[in-house]
Amino acid sequence: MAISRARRNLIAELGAHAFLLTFTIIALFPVILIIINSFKSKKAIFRDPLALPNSETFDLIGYTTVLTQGNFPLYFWNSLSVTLASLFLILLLGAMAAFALSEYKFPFNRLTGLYLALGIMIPIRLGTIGILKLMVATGLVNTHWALILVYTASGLPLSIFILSEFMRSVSADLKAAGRIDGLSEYAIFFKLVLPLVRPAMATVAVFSMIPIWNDLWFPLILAPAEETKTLTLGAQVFVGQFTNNWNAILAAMALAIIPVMILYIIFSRQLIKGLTAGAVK
Amino acid sequence: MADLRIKNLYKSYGEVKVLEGLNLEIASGEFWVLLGPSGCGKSTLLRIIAGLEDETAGEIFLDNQSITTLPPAKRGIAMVFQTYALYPHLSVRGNMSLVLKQAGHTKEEIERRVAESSRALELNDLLDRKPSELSGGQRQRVAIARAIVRNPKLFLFDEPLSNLDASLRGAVRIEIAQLHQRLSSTMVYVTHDQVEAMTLADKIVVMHDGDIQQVGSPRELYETPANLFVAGFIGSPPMNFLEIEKIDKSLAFLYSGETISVGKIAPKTHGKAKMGIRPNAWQLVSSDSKSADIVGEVLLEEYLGDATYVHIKLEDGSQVIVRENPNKNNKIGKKIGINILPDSIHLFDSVTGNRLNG
Repeated sequence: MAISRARRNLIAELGAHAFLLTFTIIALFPVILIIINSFKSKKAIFRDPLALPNSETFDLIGYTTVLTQGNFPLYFWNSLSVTLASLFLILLLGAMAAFALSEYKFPFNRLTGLYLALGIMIPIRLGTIGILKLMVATGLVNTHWALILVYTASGLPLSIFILSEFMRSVSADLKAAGRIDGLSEYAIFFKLVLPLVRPAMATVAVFSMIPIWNDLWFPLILAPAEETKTLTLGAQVFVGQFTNNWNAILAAMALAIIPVMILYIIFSRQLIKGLTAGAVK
Repeated sequence: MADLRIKNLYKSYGEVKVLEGLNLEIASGEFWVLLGPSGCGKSTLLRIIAGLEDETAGEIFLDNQSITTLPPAKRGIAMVFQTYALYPHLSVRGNMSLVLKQAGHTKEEIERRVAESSRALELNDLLDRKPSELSGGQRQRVAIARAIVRNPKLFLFDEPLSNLDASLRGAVRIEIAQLHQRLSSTMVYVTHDQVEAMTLADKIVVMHDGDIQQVGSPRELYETPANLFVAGFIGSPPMNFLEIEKIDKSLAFLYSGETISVGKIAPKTHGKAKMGIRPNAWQLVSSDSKSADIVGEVLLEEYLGDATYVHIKLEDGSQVIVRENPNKNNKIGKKIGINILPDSIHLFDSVTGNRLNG
């Protein structure tokens, strides 16, 4: 009996692993395809897209094109600064609003929370024309601020929604202790509450970061100038009406993965770090 | 050292009234316990004293100065919480010194005071640990040390022992009692545990539904409870109650027709009442004994080593508990007589619940 149960467990475990492996392969396949083909010559890409680069087909032409043609270091910097500035504002303002909603009693508290969360369900792109008019009127077209403001606005609803739920779970006694010890409300927010909701902040950061980094729509409409172009928009120069420079496109995409990966690793570390353990029972 | 005065304190959340016109005067250096079941408003009262919640109406004086409108940090109080509420990112030393830093003390002063209170609570070896590296009892000791480091006029304790396991609870309770003896500061302590209340308090305030039921020393509450609620709440196992149809010529008439002499302690005549008898205030006798006041049937025996609690079903169907000598053996189902010691009878009015005898 015992043996057969152990065997059945083994089979179940193998099955689970097979399922997960299949899923991982499907998810990673496009990424791997991009990376291996970015190191191949153009002919080799089309002759055998699945083959690994070898001594004959290995070619860095894609990377040299990307790094010499156009302003890719600048595009990189643009994407990075827009993403980081938006993330900073989303997290800071979102956490502050969430703190107010979860900590203070005021009339229409619940209703305000619902109103702020409503944005999760309404795609911000519906308001593109209005946003463009607004940016023209304020003279923000072709500046990073146009993008940062739009991304902050679109990221805040989810951030407020998730963070306010988490902040409700922070011990009320801890905040009371802070007040009795003479900490200001800002100190309670920054020193006591924020460290405790760090895992939730990391979650929000990851969820908000990826759509901002990958967005093509708003950079194209609000900031298409050469000096404010983001990476995704910059890569479009290799997409022609009749021919595409596949080497360069693949190389640009492969390079674009790196910063997101780095940010993801930073945030996911925070996700795992449990600071709250032992603070309150 | 300071005296605390609470005048006409009201608190309501919208329509729900939590506290209704409380008045308390706590003399300097006394240890007061607010005792009551959950939801009676005792924690709310404590939080209002601390300034963590606003009162709806009323005033609070500490040292004859109104602190009603002061923020918590300016009131000269310290509070110990049920969940310890230690700052998770700070070491024990950091937890203790934060309040002094906020108050702008010099480095030497902070060091001296931290050393003093950590010595008092034997935390010297733990000063550089984070709260997550401490056990429950150690955490609560740190929380207490964090409270005494600031030299407060008034200590507030909000069920500080509830999160500790039974053996630690006793140890920390003794530490709090010693702390009070040493510092002789004014302390207000909230709990729902009557053992904590009885052992620690100079005065106990029994609260129920936002009202004060009785204020008195542990002995007063136990020996002369002011009403049915206090009588039933203080004492473990709880007081037994017998329904009385009427009292006539110092005889209490039970509904079963039996009479019990209530002696000189009670009014000579009265209508419906309840008679309270503590489990240790009556004796078991044989059912045909002449001295038996009432008879019943043994339902259950609880052997505790130093005593046995015998649960008895009376003829009218109600159940009572008698504390008995553990060497006696009463068979379940056996008919038995109960002899009431007349001096230890408590009588309460059935309608108002107030005490009838002096």
